[in-house]
Amino acid sequence: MNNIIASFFSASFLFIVIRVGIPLLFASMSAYVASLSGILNIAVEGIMIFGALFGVYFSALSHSAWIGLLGVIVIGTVCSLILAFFTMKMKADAAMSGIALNLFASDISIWLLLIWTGSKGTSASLPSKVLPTINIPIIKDIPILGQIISGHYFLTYVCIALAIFVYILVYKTPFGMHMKACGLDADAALSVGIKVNKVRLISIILSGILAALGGAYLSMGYMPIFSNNMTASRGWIGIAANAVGQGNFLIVILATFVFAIAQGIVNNLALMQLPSELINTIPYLCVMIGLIILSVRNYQKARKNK
Amino acid sequence: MKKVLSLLLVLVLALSLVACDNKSGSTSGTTDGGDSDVTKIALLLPYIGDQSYFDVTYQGLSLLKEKYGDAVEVKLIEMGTDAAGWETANRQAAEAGYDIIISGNFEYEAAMLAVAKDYPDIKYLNFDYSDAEANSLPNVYAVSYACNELGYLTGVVAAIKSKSGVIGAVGGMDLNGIRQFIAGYFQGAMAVNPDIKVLSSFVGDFSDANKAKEISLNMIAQGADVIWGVAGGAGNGVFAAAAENPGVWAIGVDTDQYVTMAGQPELQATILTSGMKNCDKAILAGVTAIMEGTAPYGTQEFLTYKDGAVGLAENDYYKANMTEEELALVEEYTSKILTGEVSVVDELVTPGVYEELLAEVSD
Repeated sequence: MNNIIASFFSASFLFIVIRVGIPLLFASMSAYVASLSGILNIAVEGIMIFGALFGVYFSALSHSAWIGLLGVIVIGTVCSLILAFFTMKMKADAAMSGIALNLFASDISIWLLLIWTGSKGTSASLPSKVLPTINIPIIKDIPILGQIISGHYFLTYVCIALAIFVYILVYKTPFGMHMKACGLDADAALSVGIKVNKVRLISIILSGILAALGGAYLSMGYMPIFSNNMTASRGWIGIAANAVGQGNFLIVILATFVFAIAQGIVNNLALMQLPSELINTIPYLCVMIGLIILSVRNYQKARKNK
Repeated sequence: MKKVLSLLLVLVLALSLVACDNKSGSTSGTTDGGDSDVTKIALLLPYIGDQSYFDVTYQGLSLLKEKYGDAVEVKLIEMGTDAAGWETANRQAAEAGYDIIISGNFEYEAAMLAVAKDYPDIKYLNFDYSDAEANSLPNVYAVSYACNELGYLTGVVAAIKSKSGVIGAVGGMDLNGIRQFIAGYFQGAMAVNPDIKVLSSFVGDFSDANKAKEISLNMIAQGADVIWGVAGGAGNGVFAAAAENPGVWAIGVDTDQYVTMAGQPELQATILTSGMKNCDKAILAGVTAIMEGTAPYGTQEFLTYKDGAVGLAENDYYKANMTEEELALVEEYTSKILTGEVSVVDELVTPGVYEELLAEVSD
C-alpha cells in the first residue's frame, strides 16, 4: 500500500499523467479554439471517434501509419466542414448539430467497423499501423526530466507543439484577436471589417483536426487497435475543461491536467482495496469542484462590479 | 435551396435515430404462422461483434443449424444497448411466432422473463441465468456456467507461469458476476502457490481499453507478470500493456482470444491462453433438450468444467509456450476439480468470498 502512495511522487507518475492527459488536452484545445471564436463545438467526442476509426482504417489500407495520420487530418477537416455548414451556412442550432454528429459518429462507426472487419467490437483483424514512440536524444539521458518527457508517443509531441501553436495564435497574432472579437460580439467584429465567417471557419477546422488527432492518439499508439466507443467520454471531459477555463488558454490546460492527475490517481488507487465505484468518481468530482470554484469567482466578480 | 439543406440536416438527425432503432430488433418477414414442422428459433442479444461473450453465444446458432439442418430456422435479433428497448424486442419476437426463444444473462434476463410469463406456449432457454427464483417459470429452462471454475483454471495457469510470484486480474465492472470469475482465480493461484500475490482491479465499464491498459501497466510496475483480462472489449488493453513489456503474459476470457486477435500479431503473441465459457455448446445442448422434450423446465442447471461448459483454450500457441512440466502441473490441479477433490468458491452462492480471498492474496 505504501509503495502505491509513494508512486504518486515519482517521475513515472508524471510520465503517466502526460500519457493520460494528452487525449484530454487534444479534446479541450478542440473545444477551446471553437468556443473562442463563438462557435460551440460539442461534437468533440464524435469527431474523436471518427479520428480513431479512420486512422486505423487508412493505416491498414495504406500499410503506413503516416498516411493514416493524413487520413485523420482529412476526416477531422471533413467533420468540421459538415459542422460549419450546418451551423454557419444553414444557421442550425450549434448544440443540435453537435448532438447529431455525436450520435451519428457513435453508431456509424460501429457500422463501418462491421463492414471493414466483420466485427462490431474491435478492429483487431485489421493489420493497422501505429505511430512511433519517440526517445528524444540527449534529453532522454537527463535523470528525472528524461524519464518524464522522453519516450512518449509521437502524437504527444504533436499535441505539445500544437498547444504552443494555439497559444501563439491566440495571444500573439492579429488572427487570435479576431477570434476573440468574433466570440465576444460578432456584430461589432463585423463592423470593424473582420470577416467573421472566415475566422470562424478556420477556427472550426482547427478544432476538428485537434479532436480527430485526439482520437488517433487513442487508437494509433496508446492502443494499437480501434475498439467500439473507445473514447469513453474523453471529449466531454475536454469540453468541461474548456468551460472551467472560460477563455483563458492556460487555465484550460491547467484544468485538463487536473483531470489527468485525478485519472492517474484513480488508476493507481484502483490497485488498493477501496470500493472501485467510489474511486472512479474522483475525476468527475474534480470537474464539479472546478465548476464550483468557477461560479464562486464569477459571483464575487459580479458583486464587485455592482 | 436553404429549405432543402435544412431538410438534409433533419435527415442526418433522423438517420442516426434510425441507426439506433435498427438495433432494437427487426423481426419482419418472419410473421407467418408456426404450424409447419420447421422449428423456429430466435436468439436475442444486445449486439454481436465483441469477439468475446456475445460472439460465442451467437456461434450456438451455427451449431444448431449444423446439427438440425433444414429442420430448424434460426434467427439472431439484436436488441441494442438501450435497456428501454429490450422488453419490446422480446415481445416482438414472441409475437413473430418463434417456437423457441433464447436469451438471458444477468442484464437481459428480466426483459425476457417479463414476456415469457405471457406466452406459455413458447419455450424459453436462458443461456446464462443469474436470478434462480425469477427463472422458475414453467416454460423457461435456465442454465449457467461455473465461472468460478473457469477462474480457477486460469488462476492455476497464471500462478504456474508467473516467475515473480505476482499476478493480476483486470475486471470490467465491479459486479458479482465478475467477482465470481476473479474469486476463483484467487483460489486457483493460491492452490499452486500459497504465497502468491494477486492484484485485482476494475475498469468501471467494458469498453475503455485505454484505461484497462493503464491499470495493467500499473500492475506490471508492481511486479505482475501474468494478467487476466475479464473486461469484454476493454480487456484488449491488457494485451496492449503486455505487448509493451516483454516477459509479461496476458490471459483472455470467454472465447479463444488468440484466434480473434489474428490481425495484430504483437497483441496476439501476449495471449497465453483464454478462459473459455462455451455458451455455444450450452445452447446446442439446451435446445436439443427442449426439442427432445427432456428439458427440465422451471429448474436451473449449473454447467461445470466437468460438463465441458467452461475450459482453457488449449491451442498450439499455448502448448508451445508451456513446458512439459508446466502442462503436467496444470493437468494435476485442474483434474482435482473433475474428481471433486477441490470445490471452487462461488461469489454468487456465498457473497463476500471475493473480499475474503482478496485480503489473503494482497499481502
